Amino acid sequence: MNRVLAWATARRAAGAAGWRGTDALFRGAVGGLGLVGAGVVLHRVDLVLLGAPLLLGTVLALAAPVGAVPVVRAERLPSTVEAGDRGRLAVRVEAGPGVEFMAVRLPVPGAQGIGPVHLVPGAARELRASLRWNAWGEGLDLRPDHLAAGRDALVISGPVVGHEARRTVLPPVEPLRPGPLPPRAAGLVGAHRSPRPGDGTELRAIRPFQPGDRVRRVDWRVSLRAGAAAGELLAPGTLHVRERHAEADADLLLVIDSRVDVSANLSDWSTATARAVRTRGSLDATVRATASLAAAYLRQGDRVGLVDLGRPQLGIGAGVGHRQLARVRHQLVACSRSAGWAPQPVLLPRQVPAGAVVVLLSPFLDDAVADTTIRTARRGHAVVAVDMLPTPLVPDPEAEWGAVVAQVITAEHRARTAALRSNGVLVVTGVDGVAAVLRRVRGRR
Amino acid sequence: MTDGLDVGRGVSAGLLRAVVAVVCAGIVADLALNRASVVVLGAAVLLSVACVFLPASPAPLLLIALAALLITVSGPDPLRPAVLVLVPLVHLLHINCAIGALLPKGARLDPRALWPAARRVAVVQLVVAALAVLAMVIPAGRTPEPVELIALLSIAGLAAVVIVLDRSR
Repeated sequence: MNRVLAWATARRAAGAAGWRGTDALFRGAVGGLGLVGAGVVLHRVDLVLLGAPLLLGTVLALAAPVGAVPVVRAERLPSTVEAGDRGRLAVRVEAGPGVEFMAVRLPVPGAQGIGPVHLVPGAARELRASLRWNAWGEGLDLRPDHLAAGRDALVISGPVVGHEARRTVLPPVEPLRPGPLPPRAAGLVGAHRSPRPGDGTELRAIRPFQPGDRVRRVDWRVSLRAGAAAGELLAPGTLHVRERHAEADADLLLVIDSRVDVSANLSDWSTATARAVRTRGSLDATVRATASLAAAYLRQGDRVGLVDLGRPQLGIGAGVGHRQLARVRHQLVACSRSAGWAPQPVLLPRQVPAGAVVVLLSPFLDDAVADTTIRTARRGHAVVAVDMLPTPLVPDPEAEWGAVVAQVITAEHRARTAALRSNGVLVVTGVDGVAAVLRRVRGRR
Repeated sequence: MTDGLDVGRGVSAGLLRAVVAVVCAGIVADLALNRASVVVLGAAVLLSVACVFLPASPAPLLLIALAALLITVSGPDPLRPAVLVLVPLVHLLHINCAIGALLPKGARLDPRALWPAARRVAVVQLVVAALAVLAMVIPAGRTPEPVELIALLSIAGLAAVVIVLDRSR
């Protein structure tokens, strides 16, 4: 039985591989010949006139040989692009002169996905299409499925499913003013002023010379003034040196909550979306904010790491530079690809470097995430909670208790943020507020 | 030959279905004007709907056969306006259904793709119009038997040509 099935499948595949006639060929040939034949036999000129266009058209169409099976090849595009980028796609078509129509699936600029099928002239050897990647994320944006047809579409080849081209569109980086971070206790390089003396540029104090001080640090103007006051130049105790602050780096740990992705409309919360991430949802906003924060602080020279509360294995350690920014943005796409509910958010002590500032972005819709945030703050870290819940919440108009549900969710959320504040967590509602809050933290320390 | 083609948004391929709908409406109107019965008109309307939504089905062929049968039995004059109007309508129905059957829902269409087919339709219609004029000029009467034999052999020859061309691709 299996052999028969395999044989039938192979026959069907072989039949579909090359050129084959369509219903139109049958209609043109059988209908045309039938009408003309019936007209001749019955001596009816009207039947001959009705059948003649079908028959003539079929003969004219079949007179042009279609040649070999057409081949469609799409040119390669970069596998990683920036959100908002534009691209130009070229698809090469190798087809015989008898091919009159090509139906090729090509993307449409500004639209998501692989696009509709376009019917284009079969004589075109290169099809060019514009692409624009608006939405960040990972997805399929090109699959040149194609079908070739001869004259009057009497014979066709295909349809053939094209090679899929997947692309990662990195989340956009919006310009953000970074704030100062509390420097780490250790480290000799960085952009932040350390309270310790060191080799930085910022003046810390002018003090009397001590054994071990470098001569180039001597402040001659102060020393001479001190000598003049003492009545003797270079008398003991008159030599003064300029002491500078050390410069230290700082760690910023960005923590995202990919367990929930909600929009302002409560009616959408329980419905699945076609995309992995809701447009203008909390996860979309979180990823954009995280990419912007990472870019701003990495540009400043700080070390930035990433943790996903729902998928701890997807976190990346702290690092610096452009490469780290690329890693963070790629990882954000990976986190959103595997986003989904996890009952327990995970932020282990070993994931948070000593002295690091933790910026935790979440809609704070469950107590577990609030507990995790408070626990991290109690370990001695400066924690900034960025509230990503879209506001104001719109009640479900079709639900009888829609307005009440919205009020309960809002009240619970307010209680959670109040609990965070009372436990020393700094809560801000937008990513723009992070810099100001960090400045306050820095001032306190 | 076109080297490169910029594929834009094009026009909706629903345009082809719309043309099929208009052509089918023309055929149904032609049948109605020839005093077709309600049952036949109902069948023609059903077939028309099938032509619009299922262009790759036998519906177009059945509609063409129905129209041809009805027009033949409805009057003795083979070159009356009802027949002459039906000739291009049948041809347009055939071509539009053939091309429309290639495209899935939501497809787009570059109008330049239709030009070669449109030119061929025009040529074929000119030839058929010349045949009609010839049929008007030739005096009606009994056809000599040798001519009938030649006509039947010509049809057989055309059938052979179609088969050979179809096999030679």
